[in-house]
Amino acid sequence: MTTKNQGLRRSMFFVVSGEGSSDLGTKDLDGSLKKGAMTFILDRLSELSCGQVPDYELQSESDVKQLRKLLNLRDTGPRGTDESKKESEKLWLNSYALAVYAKRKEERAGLVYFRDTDGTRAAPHDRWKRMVDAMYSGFKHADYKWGVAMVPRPKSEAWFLAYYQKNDGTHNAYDKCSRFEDMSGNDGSQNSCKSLLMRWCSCSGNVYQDVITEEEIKCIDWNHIDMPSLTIFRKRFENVITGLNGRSYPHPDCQYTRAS
Amino acid sequence: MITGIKVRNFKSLSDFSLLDLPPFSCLIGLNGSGKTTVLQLFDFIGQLMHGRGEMRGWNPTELITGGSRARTIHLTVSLLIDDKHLSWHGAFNVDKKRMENEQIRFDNGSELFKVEAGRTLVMQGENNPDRKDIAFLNYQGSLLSSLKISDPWILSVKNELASLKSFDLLSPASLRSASKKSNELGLGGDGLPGFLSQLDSEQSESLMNTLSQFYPRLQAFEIKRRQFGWKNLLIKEYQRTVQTGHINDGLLRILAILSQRYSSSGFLFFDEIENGINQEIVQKLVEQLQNFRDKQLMVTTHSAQVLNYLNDSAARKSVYLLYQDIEGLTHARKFYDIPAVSELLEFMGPGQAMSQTNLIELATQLCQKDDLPQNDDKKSGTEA
Repeated sequence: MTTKNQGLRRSMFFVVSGEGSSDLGTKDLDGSLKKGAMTFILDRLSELSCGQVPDYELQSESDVKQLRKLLNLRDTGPRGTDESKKESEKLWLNSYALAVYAKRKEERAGLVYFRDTDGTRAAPHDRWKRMVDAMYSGFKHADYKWGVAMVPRPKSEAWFLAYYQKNDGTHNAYDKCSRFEDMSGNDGSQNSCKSLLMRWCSCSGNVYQDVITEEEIKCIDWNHIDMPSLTIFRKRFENVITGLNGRSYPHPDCQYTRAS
Repeated sequence: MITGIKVRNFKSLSDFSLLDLPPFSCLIGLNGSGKTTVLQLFDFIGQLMHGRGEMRGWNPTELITGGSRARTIHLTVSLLIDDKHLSWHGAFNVDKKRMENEQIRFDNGSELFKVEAGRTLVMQGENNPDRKDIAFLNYQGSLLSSLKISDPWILSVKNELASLKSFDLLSPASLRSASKKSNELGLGGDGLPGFLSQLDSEQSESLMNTLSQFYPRLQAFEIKRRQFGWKNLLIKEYQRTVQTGHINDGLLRILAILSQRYSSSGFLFFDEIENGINQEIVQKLVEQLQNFRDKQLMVTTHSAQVLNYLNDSAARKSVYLLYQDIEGLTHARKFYDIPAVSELLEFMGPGQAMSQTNLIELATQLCQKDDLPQNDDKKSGTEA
């Protein structure tokens, strides 16, 4: 899936980073971004918000590792770090490194840092909150104000379940969709978000390549999906988009994004 | 237990306090921030209670804050003894080398002991205060060191303060040196063989057991008795005897530190605790330090790893940042109570949080916040 969107003005610039290739996309041979489903969501929200689609630069996980090395941020930190903090420490350091990079890259560069919450069904909200807080704390420490944490709970597939539940026959699109945030993020589980989405999309392969195309994503009413992890991300992203365009924020920054 | 200390006019500690001290505390800060001066302050108070009006061969006038015309060092130590809060405070005259004014009282204000202008001693009797003329007494340090004390509270305060013991950076050369029997270790660790020689068999065995957790190959330490009471340290590992000169520095330091569990001091202060210690055993060391029998410990460190082995709650309680204003005066804050650092601690270990904090910028911001003299040219980047 390569980017199209001909006819739209491209003046905004975002650094994007995250794990896995199917969500944000991959780097083409020339280093440009071959967009994935999450980037198409960014395109769509941006288009609706200000009629523009940003340019992107993907910072892969190995790029971020390199950035951290350049900034002398040790990979594992000093020994002795409590196991329970290893994830948030890594996210904080990555967010900080990415924010420093984005600031140096362009004066008004946005940054979207994507991560699935993953994990089991146990305390998904706590884990999600900790991840989001760590990201915004890292942005803040770099004195950077255009950072956006994109952290679906439990995984990006959950956001699409909100729409594709219409294929189930018993629900309409967008019905009570916050319940999907409590599902297991473990792909090995029988009732995982991923397996349910594949079932509802009648897809046995890669659902993001085969079914959820750029055109499909444009059909989804993102404002209609009432899932906290999506709403908080969306509002923050819309704030950053409008802020980068020199306009005032359309939404009050919520508690998770107060840092920025 | 010492719960707080306040001082005026002692070297860079012009108006300085460390409050809410827990049984284990840790001082961090840049080089030259005043950590060693705090160590010297504790040493100084200990010396006063032994009737010494000077320390380390320094002229007491050198102890006065640079640039100050004051001739008096004001000291207050808060103590918790048998669930009672008491304080000792007074004024040390650097010319007379003694505490001219001195007072011990309970936190409800009731006074137990008072020295007025080096001339009058007031002891609280059963009903009325007992006043005595002491103008004829020629004492140095604290008057408490010269009196025969029967009141258990006054005696406890005196003993607590007299048992403050500070160590400079433990020096391998000093630790290796032969010594005579001694019930205390010197400032740099000299006298280790002599100190070890006076431990009883139970203490030696217990020390060896703890030491073997650090160095499993170690089988025993031994004291070789030489002529005229001199003693040398030997260790045994794998049936091999290692002479003092060949014992590794780390082992010597660990041995010296752990041996102080059996010293008579109630409060021990170690400088740069991580020095010469392999990172593989830092965790064990930090565990030991936090549970040092019935003793209170204060250490200084530059090591993120040492801090990382404290849990969050211990880190918040026990780690103090020392920093200086532009006039070179030292101030202290609980490090993890500083909002910007507290936020970092939510997401990372205490050591990593220190690593991610620019201590120079932070010091500038703290000075700004407290309206202390600071360098205006320094840009601040973190919200303190």
